[in-house]
Amino acid sequence: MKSFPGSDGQAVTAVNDVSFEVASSEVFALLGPNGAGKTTTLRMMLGLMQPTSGDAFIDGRSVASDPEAIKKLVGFVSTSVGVYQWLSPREMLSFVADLYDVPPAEATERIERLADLLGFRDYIDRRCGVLSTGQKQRVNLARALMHDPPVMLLDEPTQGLDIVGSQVVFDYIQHLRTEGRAVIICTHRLDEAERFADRFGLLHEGSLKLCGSLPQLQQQTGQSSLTDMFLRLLQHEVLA
Amino acid sequence: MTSSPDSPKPSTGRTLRLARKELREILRDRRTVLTLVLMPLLVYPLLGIIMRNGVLSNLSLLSSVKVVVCVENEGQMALFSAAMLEGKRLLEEADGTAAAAKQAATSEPGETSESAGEPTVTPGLPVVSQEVEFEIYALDAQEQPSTLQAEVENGGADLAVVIRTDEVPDLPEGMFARQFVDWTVLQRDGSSVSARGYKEIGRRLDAFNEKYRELLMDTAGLPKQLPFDLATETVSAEGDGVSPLVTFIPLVLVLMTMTGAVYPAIDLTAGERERGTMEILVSAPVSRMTLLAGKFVAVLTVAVLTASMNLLSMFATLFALGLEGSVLGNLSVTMIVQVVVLMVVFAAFFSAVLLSITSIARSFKEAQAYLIPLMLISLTPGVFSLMPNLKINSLLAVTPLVNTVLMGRDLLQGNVDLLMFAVVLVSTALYGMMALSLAARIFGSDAVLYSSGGSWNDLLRRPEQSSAVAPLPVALFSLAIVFSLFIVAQGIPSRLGLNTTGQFVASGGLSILLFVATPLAVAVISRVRMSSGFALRSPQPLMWVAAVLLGFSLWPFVYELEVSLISQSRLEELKSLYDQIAVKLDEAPFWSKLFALAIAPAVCEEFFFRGFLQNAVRQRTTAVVAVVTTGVLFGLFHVIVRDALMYERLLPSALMGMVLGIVFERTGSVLPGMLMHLCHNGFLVTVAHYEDTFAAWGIGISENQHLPLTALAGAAVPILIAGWLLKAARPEQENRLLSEAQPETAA
Repeated sequence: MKSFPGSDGQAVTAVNDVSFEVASSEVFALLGPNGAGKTTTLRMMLGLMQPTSGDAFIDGRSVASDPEAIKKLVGFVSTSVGVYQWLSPREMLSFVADLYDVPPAEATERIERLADLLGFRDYIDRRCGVLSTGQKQRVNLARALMHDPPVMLLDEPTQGLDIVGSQVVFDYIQHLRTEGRAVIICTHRLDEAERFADRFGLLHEGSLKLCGSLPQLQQQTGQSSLTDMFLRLLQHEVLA
Repeated sequence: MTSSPDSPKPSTGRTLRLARKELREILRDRRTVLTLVLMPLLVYPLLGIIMRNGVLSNLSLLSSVKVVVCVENEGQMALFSAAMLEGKRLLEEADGTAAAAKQAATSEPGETSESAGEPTVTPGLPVVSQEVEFEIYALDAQEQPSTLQAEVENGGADLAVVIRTDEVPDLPEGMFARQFVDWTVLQRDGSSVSARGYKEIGRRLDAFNEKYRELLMDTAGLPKQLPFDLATETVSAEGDGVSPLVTFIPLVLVLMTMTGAVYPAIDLTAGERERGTMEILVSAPVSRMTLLAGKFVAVLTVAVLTASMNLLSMFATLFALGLEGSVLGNLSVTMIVQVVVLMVVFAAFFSAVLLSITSIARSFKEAQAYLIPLMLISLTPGVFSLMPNLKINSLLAVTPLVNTVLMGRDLLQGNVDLLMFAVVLVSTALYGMMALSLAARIFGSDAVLYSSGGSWNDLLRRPEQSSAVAPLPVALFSLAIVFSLFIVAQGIPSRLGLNTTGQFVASGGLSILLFVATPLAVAVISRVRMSSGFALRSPQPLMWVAAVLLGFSLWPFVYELEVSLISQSRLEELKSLYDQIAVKLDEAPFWSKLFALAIAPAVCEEFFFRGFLQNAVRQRTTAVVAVVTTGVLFGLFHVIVRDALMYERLLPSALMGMVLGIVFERTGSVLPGMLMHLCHNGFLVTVAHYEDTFAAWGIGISENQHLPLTALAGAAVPILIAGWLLKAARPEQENRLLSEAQPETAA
């Protein structure tokens, strides 16, 4: 659970009773409308926020008691994360590698590999401030992988991107899966989620309403698509 | 607050690498370079030119002033220049005689005075013998018809001179024939150059007239001696009459340091959050303190660079205009080092303040909104530096910003009080640390990062959970408060108009207020638990014995150290200082001395330095670091005694503080230290009070004499026993922490 002090002094509970498991090579989509608590859940998993109560475990390590160790195990991608305007992608990636104590030789080798994988070799030495949104996104995707984390957290990774940009993200997610990483994606784009995720968690008003693979959810709800399931869930809420 | 504990240890290498990256970013941005380099390069020469033409001639700072004079025709032009040249020659002649006479008077036979031959220029004083150059033109040579009045009015000339020639009267025999003339000078109202020119014309004509009068008297065979002879000698008041420009320099420097730091401070905190790069940093396994330290180093570097550029440009301008002597007086290496040290400490302080404010802001715009009031408030102290008669005192020395501006002025004037300089540096550094710990508390906290408001409240909110020992920022905060109050309040007991006994009681009361009430208040506000936060727990019984042994046997070593550190001349100085108050000391009853000099300091100082401060520092560092830093701080507090800087007390007091620190570390309690401190001070006070009685018994040592070796050896025995007792003691610190950790986890 996570609660914040509200403007009136009363505690506002953002997330309550959210539990799920993700295995390696699995893509888990955390779905829900805006304000459902997706980002807060993600930030707690990232060790950026301490849960008010409860815990999350990555590789057996606790987020509540060992947030710094967790940070080394998790890569974070979000369109809200920016790039350093006055550094080149190469400089920025070396800097991030240094933050995670990646040895310099290994960092250089990884930058080369990621430049080829994500296709930013052409502008690897230009300053980030002059890059387009799509180009910046590629640099950011590379940034999250600089310390080779076993778990990846993606927060609205396609927000504000065009079709090409989104496709790069989809390919990236596919790549993460083949590399054996556990991937958790927060999104409100249900149609997209259906394309790339193995299992789904439907979050609404801070709690997890549904959780399982698409066939499981279809069986549970009697609806064929995620969108329908969600709309029905909302309807129930309204009626109740 | 729910920020994560900073488990990774802060590392210097990492901090410097972070700072390098931040600097690379800042310096690639042309806006920074603009304020950093271009501004000072343009501003000062421009200011210099304006001042040279407008203000300076009025201030008599320039070595020469050019005055443009207009006369009616060529003939008058010749007459004017001839009169001016003659007047100047006569003045120079008179000066030469006066200087020679002065030299004859001041030089003792058999010794040569070095300075006598040259005109002595008092540092900072305006140049008195200022050269006036006249540039003359005739009205009838102008193409456009004009009048003398119009020429002065429209600024073509600074002065106009109307010369009316009279008939030549009968001259006494031997006097050269010369026309008698009536001069009328047209002066432009409000023009300093005009006024200066008029004064100079008057001076030269007076010299001419004087010479003429002497000649007349000579010719008539009359005695030259006049009934009255009036001479004046100007004595400049201390700090007064100093070039007004000097007071501007620190102000400008402070403002420029601020300007230099503002942009990077915003960019590296609020800017980073706005661009979304803050999440890269906070999601990395690097402690927030290290991230902040990196940013602090970067901001500080830019601030110091800006200040240096400004200082260089300012000096270059002064040098180019030939003003360095008159504005700054004699520049010495010490002075420059002092100014630079002051500048760096101030830059560190202000960078920390900026970071703590900009850390709260979520965007550039918001940060700017917060900083504008700060900058306006910061301008106010500038007014202080412009008051030439305002001398720095204890209160001003601990007032942030004001102290820097005033100290900068005093440094440049060359009349610096070292005690005040030390107080300014220490207090500014402490405020900086306070601001930095505040910034660390806010920086990257999730409330600031993600919640929509209320961060100012977070900053000032009392923590929800109580803590066993004061967190380091809280301890630093109270240290800054105690230090400032200590400086300001020291003089109070003597100003209350009490008798000696009353003064002693007041000074004991002051110790209680400073070292007990202040940290207690801070502890209550920040919910630090009393018994553990001040280490008020009963130690093992044997520890009392160790404390008593140390309390009575350390003094011979402290005494020896003081005697060996002190020089003969310094001893004389201190003796005279002591003699002034010694008379009064005898009047006070023994109990009041015991209270003010032994009981109050022992209880109160231990309460604060060991119980609160060392306790807090120990949570974040090793025992050695905690003991040494607290000991040095303890020593520093003992160096500052009212109006004097007793620097020979630093080492003995710091060492004493360290021994007290070791006792605290080993016993885990503040109480044995109090007892030891009490025994030590109490013993010395008793000896001093009954000095005469002891002397009558044949016990005693004459001043400034070394103790016999046997006495030292004798004193070493109880110390060794105490050391062994302390060493054999159960490691209290760990037990204590374990036992205190228990209820917390249970809760």
